[in-house]
Amino acid sequence: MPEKTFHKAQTIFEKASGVPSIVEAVQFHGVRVTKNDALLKEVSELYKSSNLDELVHNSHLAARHLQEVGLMDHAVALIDTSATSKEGYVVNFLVREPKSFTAGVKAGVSTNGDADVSLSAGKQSVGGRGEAVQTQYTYTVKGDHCFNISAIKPFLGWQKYSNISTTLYRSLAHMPWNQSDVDENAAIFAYNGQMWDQKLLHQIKLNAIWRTLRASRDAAFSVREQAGHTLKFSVENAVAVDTRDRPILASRGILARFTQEFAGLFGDASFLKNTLDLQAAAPLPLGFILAASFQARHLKGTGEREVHILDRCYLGGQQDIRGFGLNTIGVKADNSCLGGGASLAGVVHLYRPLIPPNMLFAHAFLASGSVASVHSRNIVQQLQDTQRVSAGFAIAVTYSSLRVTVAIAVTYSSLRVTVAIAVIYSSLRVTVVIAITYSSLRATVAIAVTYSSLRVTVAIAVTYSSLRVTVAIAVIYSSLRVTVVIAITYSSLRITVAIAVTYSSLLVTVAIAVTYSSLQVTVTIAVTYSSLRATVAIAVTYSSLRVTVAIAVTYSSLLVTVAIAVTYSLAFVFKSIFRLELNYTYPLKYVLGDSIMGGFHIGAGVNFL
Amino acid sequence: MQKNDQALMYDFADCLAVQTFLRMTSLPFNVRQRPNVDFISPDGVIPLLKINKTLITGFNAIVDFVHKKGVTLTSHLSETQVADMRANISMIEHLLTTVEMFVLWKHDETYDKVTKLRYGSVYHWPLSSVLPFLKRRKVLEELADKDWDAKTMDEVGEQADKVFRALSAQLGTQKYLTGDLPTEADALLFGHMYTLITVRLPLTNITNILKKYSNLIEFTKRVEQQYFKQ
Repeated sequence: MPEKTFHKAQTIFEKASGVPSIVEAVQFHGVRVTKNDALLKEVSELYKSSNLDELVHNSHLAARHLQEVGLMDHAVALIDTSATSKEGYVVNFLVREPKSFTAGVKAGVSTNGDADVSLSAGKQSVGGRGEAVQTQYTYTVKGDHCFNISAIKPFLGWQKYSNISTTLYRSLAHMPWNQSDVDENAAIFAYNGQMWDQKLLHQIKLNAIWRTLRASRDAAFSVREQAGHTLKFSVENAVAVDTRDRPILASRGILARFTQEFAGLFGDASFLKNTLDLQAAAPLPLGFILAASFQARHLKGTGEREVHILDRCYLGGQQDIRGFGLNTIGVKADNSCLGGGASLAGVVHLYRPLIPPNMLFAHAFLASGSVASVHSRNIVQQLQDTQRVSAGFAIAVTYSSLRVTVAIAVTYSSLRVTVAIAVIYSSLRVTVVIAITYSSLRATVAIAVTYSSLRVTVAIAVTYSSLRVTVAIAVIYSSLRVTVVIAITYSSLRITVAIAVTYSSLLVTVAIAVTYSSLQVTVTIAVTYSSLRATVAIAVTYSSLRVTVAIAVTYSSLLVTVAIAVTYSLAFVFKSIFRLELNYTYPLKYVLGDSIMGGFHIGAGVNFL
Repeated sequence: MQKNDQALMYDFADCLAVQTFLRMTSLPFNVRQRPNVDFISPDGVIPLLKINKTLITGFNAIVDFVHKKGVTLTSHLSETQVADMRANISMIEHLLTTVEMFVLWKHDETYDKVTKLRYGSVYHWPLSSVLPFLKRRKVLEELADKDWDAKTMDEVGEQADKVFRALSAQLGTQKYLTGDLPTEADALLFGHMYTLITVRLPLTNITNILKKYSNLIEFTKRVEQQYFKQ
């Protein structure tokens, strides 16, 4: 539909509630593997839209849902008028399906404060109905390992956000708070769904975990006597109301979640654990955000044995009560922390967004919490008596959907290798291109920063034989292009300033693309008017491999060039949202024997109190 | 030794030996059975003696520890006798324990009918099947390291006979191995003899070999009478 002009939905939205509409057809462009019945479930509700306003709104919801359930990487709805009837409309979805395979490498900081590296691989929409398979292997500098494989199947349908998933994992981790190591082999089956008009989130989890606790030489006997193999089978049920604007560092809204875990039908562990999480955030004047979090946990053993040390409540660390060692608040034996049977924690935050907003924040906090022992007779009294308080300030960073692309191109004509690395964060894109050419040893570093549809490019080229530095600044905005090239050549001191203004009509490009499954063939013909130059380029793309053949005919000196390029590109996508915090903490109130960690520390993770 | 007891023949024998030794020295103690004792023990060695915060593992280390505290059963012995006693202990610990390990883990019928059930008894399914399997693999590796993996049951019987013959000759008609007073070697000998006599295994040839040496049987009955039947 290149001959038509489409406008943004805002131009008519909320002005067309009186315009009747009949959806005549829904068309998808770009579908290869997605099953027909899956698409049908996703869009059948569109046919029920009675007026244009509703249709615009529903089309938008449908496009967003297609992406959120994992059926599509990208989806845009275009509403077109029907050729046959005045009230008829045709909804077109321009979609891009997920890559056949994704792989990633991530380096970060684990919750324990260790540096960690993880390798992941996965496949989205395996069967064409949004099913995804993910595997991940993580190891930290201190020697923790975790291998994890999970499969998730969403239930498709109009605005349905429910799924079932199975996760198998094996992990080996060191627990410095009770000076022991734990090996876990687990199978987890989960259901995520919604109730009551999608206002109440509901999760049910079945956990089967075989744990092996190994006490180190320094561990207290109270830890040592619990070492060995234990089997835990538990059922977890969680209900939540979540009106926050984003899951990490929300600026407004509340979260209320109540989780119950029951273990005891099979296995060694038998207990009932209740957890209540409350979070609230509200914007203040001058851009400040006030947020508060509260967590209460209670654990009750239901068997003959006392609740295992691995199942108890722990507090302390960068994610909850900052200023204390990770999971070290509560009853201690020698240097080992034994955890407790109940805990209370609350943190009050004040945030101020910095630049860029929604990514970098100044942060001040006041945290308080206490843990009661598993044998405590008067839990309330003990929680009151052993309260800890800390305060501090921090710089918090959040990031989401960061994408790094590495493309390696090898061109035959004069042996040229190009490595391009692109980092894409939301609508900001930074590209670094390094090109090495064989014959005259030439290295080029080009840095391009693209923000929305504005693009600024700076290219620096260093050529071995005759030092040449080129700075090209191109400002491209939509179809108007202004280029400024400044070239400094060493040998014969040449300074060139070229200004080019291109406005679409000078250049004629015809592109024909034939797509079959994941094989794509593109033929590009470019005719440049001024010095009569014709280029024919044929590109064959299969998955992430691309072969290009370009033939250029230049009139003035009748030159025919044939260049063959092979490009292989690999994309690493980090979809997980993440928060990093560098804080300075000062413990205000503590109990003798606590492992106090004041000063500067780094915290990272997803679940911050 | 009850049928639902997790402790294996040689572990039980060592525990009994330590108990006998402590009774011989008249030191007060009490016995606790724990399903995860091999994890509680810092080096995996059983039995385990806990005195306040100190943990001592294994028969020899416990005897040494008690000796360092000034309690000893060997003050009346000459240096040669002490050396003989040490040799007996070493023979029981290395040769006899290996014979017992071989029977429990290498002999298929014993493994299936006794060892597997006993070792897995403290765990829930599926660990009750997985853990004996993993342990068997480890023990078989240990036996291979000692070049015992290719031995036949008859060869193992000969090894057992060698130990019994030597100990029987040493005992002779005496009350204990080194005369009228007990030593730690007697405690260890009693632990293993009592276990071998009372244990019920599908395989009876080790017990049958032991029955040829009547003075060892008499010794076991005598020690049991003196230290455990009061």
